[in-house]
Amino acid sequence: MDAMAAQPHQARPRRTIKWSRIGVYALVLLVLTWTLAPLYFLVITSLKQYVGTIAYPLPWLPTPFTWNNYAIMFTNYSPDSISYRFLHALRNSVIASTATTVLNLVFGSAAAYVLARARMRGKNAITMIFLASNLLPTVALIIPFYVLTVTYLSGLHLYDTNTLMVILYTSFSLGLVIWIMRGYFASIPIELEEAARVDGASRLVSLIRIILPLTVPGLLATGLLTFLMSWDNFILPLVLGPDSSAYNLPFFIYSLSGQYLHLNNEIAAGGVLSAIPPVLIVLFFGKYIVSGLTAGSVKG
Amino acid sequence: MTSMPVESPPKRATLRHRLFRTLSGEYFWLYLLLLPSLLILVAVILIPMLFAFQMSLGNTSIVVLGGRGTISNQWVGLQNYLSLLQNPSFWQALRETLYFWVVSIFIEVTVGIGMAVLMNQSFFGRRIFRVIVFIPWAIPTVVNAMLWGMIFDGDNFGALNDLLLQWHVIQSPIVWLNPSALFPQIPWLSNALSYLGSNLAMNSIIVGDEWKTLPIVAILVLAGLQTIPHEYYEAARVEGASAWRQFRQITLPLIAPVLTVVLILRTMQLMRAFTLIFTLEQFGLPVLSIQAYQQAFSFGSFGMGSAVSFLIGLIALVIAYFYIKRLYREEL
Repeated sequence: MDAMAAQPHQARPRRTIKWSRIGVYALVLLVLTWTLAPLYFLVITSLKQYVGTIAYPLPWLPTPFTWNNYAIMFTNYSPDSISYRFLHALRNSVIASTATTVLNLVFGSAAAYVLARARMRGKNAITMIFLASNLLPTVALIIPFYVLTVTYLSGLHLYDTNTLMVILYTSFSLGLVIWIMRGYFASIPIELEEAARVDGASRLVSLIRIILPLTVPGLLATGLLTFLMSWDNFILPLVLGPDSSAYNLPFFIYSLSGQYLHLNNEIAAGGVLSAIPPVLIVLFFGKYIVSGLTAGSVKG
Repeated sequence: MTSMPVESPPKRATLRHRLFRTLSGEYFWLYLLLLPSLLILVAVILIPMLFAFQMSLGNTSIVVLGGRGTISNQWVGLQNYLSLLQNPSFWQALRETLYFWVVSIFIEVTVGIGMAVLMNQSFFGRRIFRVIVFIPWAIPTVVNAMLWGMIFDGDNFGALNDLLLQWHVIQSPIVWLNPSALFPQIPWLSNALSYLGSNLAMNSIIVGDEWKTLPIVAILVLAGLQTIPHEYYEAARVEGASAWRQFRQITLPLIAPVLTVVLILRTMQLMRAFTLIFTLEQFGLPVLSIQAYQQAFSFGSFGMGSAVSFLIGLIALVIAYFYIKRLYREEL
């Protein structure tokens, strides 16, 4: 009896395992298609001549093939040419995102250190206000920013400058940096710092020599997050910097579509070029970003 | 010995005393480290917010001449807010915003957890799979918008139309980004969906938005899954629990904290869903953020625009309150 009953029992798990294997691979294939098909479409569109983007049936290979959509981003440089606008946008994106990242790391981690260590009344409230400020949508602040910039502060000539972009980007990601870095500082045992100070190091020296090296993963994660956030910004240049002195890559790509002619292949090429830096960051440092996000905003 | 209590110093130190203690204390210079961030917070967030509130109480308009603007602000009290609340298009915008939020969150909970569970299985190429799945999150929002604009193009050379036409699923191209009513054959359903803020363009945009945001939800949930000890599942298997039961009684409760925080974070981002909608639809799909922008920068009524954006800020802060409460319950 037992032996007879055991036989179908033994056979069943093996078969369900096999089926679930197939199911897993089918789902993996489905997710891969969903993820990669749009990317593939973007890349082949960027390598097509214009006729290839409006043909029916649509060619699923880059035909008729051309490198020209990329070439025009770098050649024939003259005022108001496409390469002029692209290269200015690229320069502004690099300057603004880098400066924002540096400022955020310096100011943000300094504040985070204080909020993690100081015995000070109201430090939790301050942390909370910073975090809340980060959660405020840009769109809720863009109108006062615009009005203040062009009226009361017009003497400072901030409109259409990278300086203004950096100031505003910095304020938007500062809360997140402070929150994540505060978690990293709090996780470092205070005894470590005290030991250094017993050995005669001042608070500042112990902060720079002992504590900061231990928070490198956190600095990397928050720095990259800040960089990605400011690289992606669109509404600030749209309202406050629609000129070549301040607009960034997202605004440049938007402006390509705003023309009377909507050249999908050029838009796609611009899109691929502006997506390269963030994609590389995610490919190589994705792990740090995830651990920063989970350490900072998920686990607390 | 016990009968002579030592005169204790006065309990309430004077303000001057406390100030002196603070300034001479070893923590004083620490406060200096905090100062730049506090200044940024006050100058770039708090003052503009108060200014927005002030503008929203007036009939504000500005005239810019040669880079120098003059502002005229006529006090009207709560008039802007009252006329907003009486305007049906405001309520429609609110419902559309809510629809966008509810449907996106629903997709993220179901598909996002599903993707995370899938990534947590062991299969050939899992490591590279996790990296590839993450890529769409890195694509800048405007690029994502343009890409889905090409996919949803209303001509027959739009990528989706092209595929569906060739597979003979549809006979003529569909204008996916047109805010037209769904199910026009069934009037009551069509009207109900339109009332709730659901139309073709809205749903297409949700699909495009999810392509970029599902990865980060799935990967954060995966990080939560990886903290669950293997022994729990082994014990459950020994007890004969089915896969579904294991998921419901082990996985779900243990990733609940991660999930809550991810969802609140996403809720905040959805309130910002300006870029995608503006790039693809301009003013065709007037969710709240689009309305605020349009009032101020198309119609020039900065008072009304400020009122809308102040309401957005208020909604965001209410959600932020729950988010922060959740974080603090775990940490402090």
